[in-house]
Amino acid sequence: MSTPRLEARGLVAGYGAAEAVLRGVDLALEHGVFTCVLGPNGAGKTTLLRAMLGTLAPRAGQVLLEGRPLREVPPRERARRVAYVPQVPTSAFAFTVRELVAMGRHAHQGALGLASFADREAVERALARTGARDLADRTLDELSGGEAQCAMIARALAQAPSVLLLDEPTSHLDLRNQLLVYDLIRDLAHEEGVAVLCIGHDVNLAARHADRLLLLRDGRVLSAGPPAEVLRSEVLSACYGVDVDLVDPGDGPPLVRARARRGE
Amino acid sequence: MRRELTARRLLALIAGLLGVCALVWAGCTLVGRYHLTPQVWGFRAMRVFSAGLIGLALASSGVALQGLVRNPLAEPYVLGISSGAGVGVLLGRALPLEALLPRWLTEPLLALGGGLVTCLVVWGIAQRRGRLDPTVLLLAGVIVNVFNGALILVLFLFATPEDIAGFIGWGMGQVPDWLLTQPGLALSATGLVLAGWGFLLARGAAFNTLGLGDAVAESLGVRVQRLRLETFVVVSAMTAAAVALAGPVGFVGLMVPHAARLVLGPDHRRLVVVAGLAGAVFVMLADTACRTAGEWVGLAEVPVGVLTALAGGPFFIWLLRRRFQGGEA
Repeated sequence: MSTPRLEARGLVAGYGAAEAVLRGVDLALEHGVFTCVLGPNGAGKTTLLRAMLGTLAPRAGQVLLEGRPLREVPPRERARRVAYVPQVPTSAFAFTVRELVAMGRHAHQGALGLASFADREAVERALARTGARDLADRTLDELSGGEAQCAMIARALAQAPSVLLLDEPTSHLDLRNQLLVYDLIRDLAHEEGVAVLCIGHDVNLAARHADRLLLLRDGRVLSAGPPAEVLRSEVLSACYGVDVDLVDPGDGPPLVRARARRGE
Repeated sequence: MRRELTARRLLALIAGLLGVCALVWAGCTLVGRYHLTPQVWGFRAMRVFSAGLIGLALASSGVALQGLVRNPLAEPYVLGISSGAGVGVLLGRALPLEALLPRWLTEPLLALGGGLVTCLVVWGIAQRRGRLDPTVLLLAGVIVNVFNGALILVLFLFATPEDIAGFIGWGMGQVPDWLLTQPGLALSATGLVLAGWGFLLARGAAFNTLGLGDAVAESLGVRVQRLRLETFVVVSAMTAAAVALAGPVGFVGLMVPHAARLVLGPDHRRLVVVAGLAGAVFVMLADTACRTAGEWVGLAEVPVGVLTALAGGPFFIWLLRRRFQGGEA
């Protein structure tokens, strides 16, 4: 088996002197595979993403980028391989979408950030790939939430990454835009071969799009694998602390229906 | 639609604006009451040059600070860096250092020390859980300015009455007409400002990415903490050079970048170039107005810092109100 693009081995991580948030997580992101992380609030999803991004140092265990310890990879070199999309698209300065997407080329350029032919091509391709070409001359605050998130994904794509990390990219989007963004992320994994790690907040949406699910609880992996294997009512009950029914929709992984436990 | 920045456009922009600066410098040198003897010309040319250098330092520092803290109200004067550098300069003049080290060395160094300490203190106060609170940042600047003002008054106690008269003029932001007699200081200040300007230009693309948030900038390969620290040092050095020459000249770093942003948009590479050189033109013109008005009316000269403060104070309040009303500042 080939080396995973990005891999966590026995990852323990946390903040300051506080107790560790992640307590031994194993995770491998492979070429063309869309992995979605699920779990209740406080399970350590964002911490996992930050450790995989290299902004948080592991306390124990390792994060490996193509077999090399991530913290030893120089930032610019890392940025040519790993891209990140935050939860809420923000731009403090009034740049157009095309200018924002062009910033994805930062680690490929000299200090002045002057674009080469290859840079321009990568930007236009990323715009076209994410359907953001028509938005290219608008600023972020003129876009809907879904459009803005597509622009941010285009910016990440212009980085020409082999790994894409997304932090709940749909948490503030309406139903249609949630689907749009998840479809896009899946296509990037399957058609462009990007290894994708996405934090999800909607179990059903994640299950229908992702190739693999990872259930986190209290900083540990409760279950990991293809959606059909992970989605078992007793596992989900333990993970979220609710009663769970699974409904077979007939055309894919089971639908999850949650009920609050009585007396809680 | 803004056009993409290419090497050719950047060079053309720099060359064109340097040409404008040269013209304004020549024009300002010609204006004045006294007949242009070679000696008058030399002093006046150096004074206009000092004014340009100060404008370049302050306006490009303003651009960098505004990008760094994502707040259009950040500026060397408002954040207290100028007054911190002022404490350093006055410390140098009050202490008998001339005997030990040449002035061109001690003055910028002490100004840099004062500016940098102030900068880091203000920054430290405004940090909350790894984030920068913009409101606290401005308040910290105000308080540190008052504190530095008190330190300056304490330093007055150690000075002779003649010195104090000079300090007061300097404290209002007076472009010097003595730079010709201090070639060492002229060279060190020019070197600091030009090197700093080049550094800020080279970090323009990185400042742009900061608008996407620290985490995204980091993921794009920018070392955000290091960028902040380096920029503070460089901005303090540029401000120190300006303050060593003219004392604290306020609000140039606020008004000029804002106007440049309205015309050019948010790209920090363009802003460092254009706002920097527009700042040079602005201070050259403003100081020439102050100088000639005094010469013709027969009154004492108005220090240029008084003019920029009279214009800049209301401008600051206008920006502040726009920002708190939720408008895009």
